[in-house]
Amino acid sequence: MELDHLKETWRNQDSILAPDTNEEQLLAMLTRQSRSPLEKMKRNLLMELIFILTGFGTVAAYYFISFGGKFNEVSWVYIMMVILFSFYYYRKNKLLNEMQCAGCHVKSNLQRQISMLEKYVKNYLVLGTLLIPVILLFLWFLFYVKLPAGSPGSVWHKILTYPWWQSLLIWLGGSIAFTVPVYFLNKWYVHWLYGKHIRRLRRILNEMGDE
Amino acid sequence: MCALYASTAADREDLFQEIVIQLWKAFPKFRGDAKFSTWLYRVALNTAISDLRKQNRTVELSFPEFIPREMTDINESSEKEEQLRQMYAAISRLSEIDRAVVMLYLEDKSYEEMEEILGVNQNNLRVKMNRIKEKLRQLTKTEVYGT
Repeated sequence: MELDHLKETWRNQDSILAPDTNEEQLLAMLTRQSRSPLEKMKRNLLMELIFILTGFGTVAAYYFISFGGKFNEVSWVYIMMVILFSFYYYRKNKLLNEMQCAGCHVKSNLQRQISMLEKYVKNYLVLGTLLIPVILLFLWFLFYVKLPAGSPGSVWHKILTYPWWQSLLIWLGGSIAFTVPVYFLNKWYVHWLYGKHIRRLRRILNEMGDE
Repeated sequence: MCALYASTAADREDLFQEIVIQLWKAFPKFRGDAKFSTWLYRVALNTAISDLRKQNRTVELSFPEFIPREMTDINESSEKEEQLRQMYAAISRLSEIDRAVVMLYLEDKSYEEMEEILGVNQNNLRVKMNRIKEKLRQLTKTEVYGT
């Protein structure tokens, strides 16, 4: 079989294989949700944002209203986390919007996708891991300053009765010990989510050659 | 194009819909710095190639299953039909990029236009095309003679 001989046959079969679509069907298609992975990622990110805003917002409001305002700091920390998350959302959303350039050369679009996806994964990993010690530090502040008595006889009680810097050091040590495995767990998770896709895009790009 | 990147009728329909959506979304950014047809091919290929779900579509399929069902309705001579069957079977074994090159070649695009669409140097495309032709010859020989 010679490819050149098949050009005409190829052109003839186009009309047969082309889906039978009229204007109405095309309009119906445009109203459906895109199933591309990028659009799915955008939708998931928006869901994440809504979840954080409503969840954290409710907790912040609860601590403002309850306990006679004794735990206002907790509310402020949650509000701070919402602000930080909104920044995180903005960064991720920006990367997702820049990831696809449908009208660009196939090659430059692939390069762009790989570079943006790698940045996205890096953000996910770094910020997702940093969140752990920040939360643990906040918990230390909460226990040490707000609940110094703790539960007598418990390990926490002993730690909280040390001078603040000793208590903080012990807490930091514990935080680091907890954060390291979380980092590796996060790393495995993001690579499980996106690693295969990135490798596939890299393989396609390498096949294009012309580097 | 959908027939080259999707194996089942449902997948082809999905891909076609995705391309329509992407064309619609990308159209406001079309500035006319390339021919409209070039831009169309870019959007369609970018959608077909970089979409994750196509991992399922690009699975090498046994040759009769890969051929779009509609093809069997073509009132062509059996010889031409057989050629097409062989061609689809062979193309299904090519990589995503090689399929794009073959499709553009069959669409009678010049190497200059292919470069505009794919972003790959014309000389490299010529070399690639020769390799693909050779590969397809080998693949169809294997298909026909089972060697």
